[in-house]
Amino acid sequence: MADQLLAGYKVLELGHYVAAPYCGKLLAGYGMEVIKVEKPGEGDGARRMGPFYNDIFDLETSAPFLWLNTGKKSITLDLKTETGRKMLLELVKEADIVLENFAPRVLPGLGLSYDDLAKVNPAFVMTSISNFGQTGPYRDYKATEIITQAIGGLSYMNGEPDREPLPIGGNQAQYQGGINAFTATLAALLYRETGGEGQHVDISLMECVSSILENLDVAWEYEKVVCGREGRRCMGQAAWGLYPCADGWTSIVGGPARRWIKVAELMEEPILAIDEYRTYQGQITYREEIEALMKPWLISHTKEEIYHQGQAMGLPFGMVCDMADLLKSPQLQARNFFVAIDHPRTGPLTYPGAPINPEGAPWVVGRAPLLGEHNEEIFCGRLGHSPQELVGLQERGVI
Amino acid sequence: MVIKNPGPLAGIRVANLSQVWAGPHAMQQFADMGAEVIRIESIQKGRGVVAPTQGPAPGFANQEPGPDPWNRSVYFNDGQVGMLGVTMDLTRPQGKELLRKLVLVSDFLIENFAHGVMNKLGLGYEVVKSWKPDIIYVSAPGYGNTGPEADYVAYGTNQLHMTGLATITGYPGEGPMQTAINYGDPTAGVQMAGVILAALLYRKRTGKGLYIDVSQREAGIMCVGEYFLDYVMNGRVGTQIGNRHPYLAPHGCYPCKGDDMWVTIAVGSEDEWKSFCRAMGEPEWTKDEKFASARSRQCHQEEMDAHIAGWTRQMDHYEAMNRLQQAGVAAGAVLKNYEVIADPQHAAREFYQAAAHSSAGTFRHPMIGWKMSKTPGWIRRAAPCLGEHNAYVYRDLLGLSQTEIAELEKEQIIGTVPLGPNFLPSAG
Repeated sequence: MADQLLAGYKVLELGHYVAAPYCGKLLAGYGMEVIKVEKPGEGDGARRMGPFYNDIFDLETSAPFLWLNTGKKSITLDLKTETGRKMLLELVKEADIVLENFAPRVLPGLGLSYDDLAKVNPAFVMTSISNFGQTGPYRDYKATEIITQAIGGLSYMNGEPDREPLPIGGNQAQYQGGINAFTATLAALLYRETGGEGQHVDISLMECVSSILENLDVAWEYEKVVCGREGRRCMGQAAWGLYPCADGWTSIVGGPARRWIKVAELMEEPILAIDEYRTYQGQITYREEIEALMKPWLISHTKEEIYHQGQAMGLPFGMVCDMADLLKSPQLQARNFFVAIDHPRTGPLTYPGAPINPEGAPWVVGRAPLLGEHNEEIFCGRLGHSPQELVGLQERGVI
Repeated sequence: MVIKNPGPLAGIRVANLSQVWAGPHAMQQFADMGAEVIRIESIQKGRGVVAPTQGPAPGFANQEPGPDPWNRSVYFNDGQVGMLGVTMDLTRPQGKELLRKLVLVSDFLIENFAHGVMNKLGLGYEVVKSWKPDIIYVSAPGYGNTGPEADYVAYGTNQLHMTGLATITGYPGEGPMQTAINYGDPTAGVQMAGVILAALLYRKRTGKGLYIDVSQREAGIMCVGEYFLDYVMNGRVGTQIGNRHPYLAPHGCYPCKGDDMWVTIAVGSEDEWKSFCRAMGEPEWTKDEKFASARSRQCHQEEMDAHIAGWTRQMDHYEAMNRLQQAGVAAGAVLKNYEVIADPQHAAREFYQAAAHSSAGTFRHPMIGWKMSKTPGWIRRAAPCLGEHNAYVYRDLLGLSQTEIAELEKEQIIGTVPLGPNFLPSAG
């Protein structure tokens, strides 16, 4: 079996929904053993989030759950019971990493704070992801995606100037939390492995959002400029942004300036080549004129045609891919980006594979676990409970 | 008070050839954690690749290019905070030799040029591996180094769209929207940083180096995986829902008092709905049948949102947020850039930190997105001036003599001033 980057490490994931689970997914994909600790009977809240396979509610076939929990094991434990708590602490003794994304008060309230866990395992790394972090005046504030993106400073700049601001779609602040947790956890682990100690890593989704404003926040610091919304145009200029085309939407970049002449050539519209239309300033001042000139060609070509023909001219054109376009992409197919993953309830399905897949130490492909699927393996095999004891624990709702 | 410690990655050194955003953002994670990140540039190419700040602002500190505009770019100075800077002309043998010497004392090399550039320079993985067999070599073009589109030109502007994320971003059902930031870059960047750390752990265990080929597009698609799976399972290709939620209501963005001021509100449960009504002072409209249950609230969202806006318009966005949060309802002010920098939560956690730059001045920059209890990150220095650390790196780290360095300067292999009119403030 090929070597994995992170073989030999153990993670306990007390995660739900997106942020901690995405981090756990990455750690599992790069070779760690990730054991997901779920609530008996219900499991991770993501199991109840649709959409479901064939749109039929089933705790085992939620698309977000299946996607975010590939490669993990699942045990159930009621952490509110004293027995459940003790069993968790037994597992913490053997863990390198404990990952969680409860609200900051929750684990300390259960006697499972970083300090509590460090007593049984002083060398472990704990990574906590929360909306606003473990400290500060907003620590106990509630949030969903639109709130973290708004307060992080991202939403204000997305959308049309004369309409309400927009978030980036899906679960992006939560994904950023998971991504930052992945990197921070490994930094802490590397520190421990090179003579340092374990510690508590504190991820705030608000900070994750504010850390990626791409100089648009410091535009205020440096130039006293407020950055606002530009709709479908990148930086307000024509020919850099989204345009309707024959079968959907294209995403063109009419630059750099020295390539602008190619745009006129490609779109068979010589008037586009005039000097006034070539510069950044001109592309703002004359944006409506330029867009009117481009429109006939754009609207009569498909997004694939525009993408490939533009690239053939050395223009950095793209296209707005929907999910079907991703699956069809010859580039993604050639790079073996997609993988088939089988599952007892859905059969084999195609999933995106790894974000980054190093040769020589490839990503591990594995399905999401059924609820409590590994109770016997972990509680009997590792903690030494007998199967009869498990039945008793189950009857009492501990597992 | 930030504890000024060496950081968890002290002792790690990076030969950083990356530019624009994805690679530099990955390297900022390392710099803030104490690694010595050496940004490699050349006086031949200068610093032409930057984006202007929005609108009429030219993109320079205090809006002034000054006598050395290449050292005053907002985009560059923000993106390269914490790094050291050297110059070397990699097209000539003496420059390649400098890179070789630097690689010998570095833990990894990272580049995000277009596919093929490093190979053409004779600086691809096989060559660098022959210098240092356990080198970790990270190559991160937009679409990866293999496949029929490996030579396609990738701009950050398109990454969101190529990953499928634009399809689910926009006003409800009105088509895809652009985003203000090149979201694909940091998404790939931070994941890259994590995989590099994993590779460092791997090398510690096995002694082996690694070649890491990154497609920024693939790293970004991970963030729509659940939508992709919905397509595979149920045939839906993705659509836009704006500030709405699949099943929660109220859930939206509401106008507040003041110029272009907004607050986002999300009500999660019946209890929260009751708290929300109480916070608004139990207005008559909330007692209508139409708003009695979550299901029916979802069916009458437009009407409900108009009522809610009537309330939020009376106060500023922070007041709306804090009042609702005190009442146990999720709410978030939509912050403008100057408000984000001044926000009390960021202030309490010292998220914006100042760095003094010898030419541009002293400005605050955002930290990376995490804190560590024993080795918190901190911003150690401003971005480098062009070639600012040539003396430190070439003389102190690599042991070149004063004579050798003077010769390199004379031959223009190294230097601190760009040759020719290279600094283009516009993106083209």
